[in-house]
Amino acid sequence: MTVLVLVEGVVILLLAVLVVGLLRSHAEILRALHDLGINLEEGAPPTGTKTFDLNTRSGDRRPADSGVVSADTAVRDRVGASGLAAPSADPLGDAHDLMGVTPRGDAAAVAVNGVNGLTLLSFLSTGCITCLDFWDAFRDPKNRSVGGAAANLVVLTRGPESESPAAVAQLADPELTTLLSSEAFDDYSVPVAPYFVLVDGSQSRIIGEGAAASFEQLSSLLSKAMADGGYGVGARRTRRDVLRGLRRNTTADEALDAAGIGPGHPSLHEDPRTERGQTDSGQTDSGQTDSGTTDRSAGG
Amino acid sequence: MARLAAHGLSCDVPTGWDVRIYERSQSTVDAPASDIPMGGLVHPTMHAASSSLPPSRGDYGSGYVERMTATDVFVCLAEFDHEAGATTMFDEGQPRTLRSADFHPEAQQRVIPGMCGTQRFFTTNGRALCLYVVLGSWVRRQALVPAVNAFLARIEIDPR
Repeated sequence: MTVLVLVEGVVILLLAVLVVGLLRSHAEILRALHDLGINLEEGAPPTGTKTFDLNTRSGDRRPADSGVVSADTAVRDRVGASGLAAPSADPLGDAHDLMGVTPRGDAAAVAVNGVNGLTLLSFLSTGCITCLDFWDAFRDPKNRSVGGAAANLVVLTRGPESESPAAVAQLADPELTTLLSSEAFDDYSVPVAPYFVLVDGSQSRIIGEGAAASFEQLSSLLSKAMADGGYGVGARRTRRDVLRGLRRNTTADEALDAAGIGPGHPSLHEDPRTERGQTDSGQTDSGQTDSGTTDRSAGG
Repeated sequence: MARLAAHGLSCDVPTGWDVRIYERSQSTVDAPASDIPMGGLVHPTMHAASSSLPPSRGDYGSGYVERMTATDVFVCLAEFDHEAGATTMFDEGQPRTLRSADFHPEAQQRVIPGMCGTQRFFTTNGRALCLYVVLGSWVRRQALVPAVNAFLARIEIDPR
C-alpha cells in the first residue's frame, strides 16, 4: 500500500512538472510572437512589421527579435527588402538640437535637448512613396500628437542641396514645424526616409527609433512602445513586463538614481548587520545632528 | 553653442531655446498710386524663445506669448524701413543689456496678466530695428533678465 502511494505521488509530481513546463513553453511562444509584432489577444490592433520599438538599441534584445541590425552594419546597408530602414544595435545615442532652413528659406533652430517632454522627429523625403502617407497624415492636426499629447512633432527632410524646398513646401502643412537639414540626418544616423526618432528632452537622450510603413502602423507601434517604456498617459506595467521583470528593474533603477545611488555607491557595499545611520558621535549619516541642524560638510 | 544666421542677423542658440530668423513674403501687388508693395516692404525678423515656438506666430510673438510659462522668455528683433531710423523714436546703438526695471506689464503688445515686456527702437549699421522682449513672469523678472542679456550679447546685425 505504501509503495502504491509513493508511486502515485511520484506520478503526480511528474505530471505537475510536465504541466508547468507546458505553461512555460506556451508563455515563451506568446512572448516570441509578441516580440515579432503578433498579438493574439482579443481586441489587439492590426499587426505589421515591427520596426519601431523603444529601447531597441539597448542591447537587451537580440536583433532578430526586435527588427534591429547588428552594430557594425553600414548605414546604407540598414535598408531592408521592404525599403524601410532598421535601427542598428548600437546603444541609443544622445539627442542633438536641430538646425536648418524652413521650406520658405528662413533659418530655424529647434531645441530638442533640455526641453520638457518628448519630441518625435519624422525624417521624410519628398520622393519616396511611403513618405506620402505621413505627409498626408500630418496635415491633420490630431495626427501630430502621435508621439503623445504633449509631444512636439518636427518633420525633417534633407537639406536644399538634396531636396527641393518648393516640393517640401507643397507637401508640408504650414502649421507643421518642418526643417530641411542634412545635418540632422547625419546626427541621428538616418539611413533612409521614412525614419522616426523619439527623444526625451528632459534627459537629452533618444528613447526609441525605427521605421514604419504607414502612419497607422507608426501610431500603433509608438503607443505600444511608449506604454511598455513607461511613457505617456496610462503607462503601466504590462503583463509581459511583469513576466519578464523589465519594468520592475527599470523602476528600481530609477528610484535608486533619484536617490543619488549609482553603481559603486558606498551604501551598496555596507554591511547590512550594522546599525544604519547612527555613528558613535550621535550624528546620522545624512549629516543631521541631534539639534536638528544640517552639517553639509559631514555628508559624504 | 551653435550659431544661426540669416537675412543679415545672427545669434548664438542657447540650449533649450528655439530661434527663427525669417522674412515674410512680399506682396507682388503695389499699393494704389504707389510703387510700394501692398502691405509695405518686408524686413527680417528674429524670434527666440526659451521653449518651443509654434510654426505660426505674429511678428511680435502672438501665438507664442499666450503659452509662455513663468520661466519662459521671448525675444523679438524686428527690422523697419531704414528711413524710419532717422526719427526721434530710434536711438543709436544696439541694446546689449536690459535691467529688470526696464520691464513693465503695460509694455506688452497685448497685456497678459502676470507677464511683462519692454521695447527698444534703435539703429545700428544703417538699419532700424525694434527689440521687443517678453518675460513670462513680472514677479520673477530679476531671475529671467540675465538669460535675456546673455542672448542679446551674442546677437550680431550686419550692415545694410
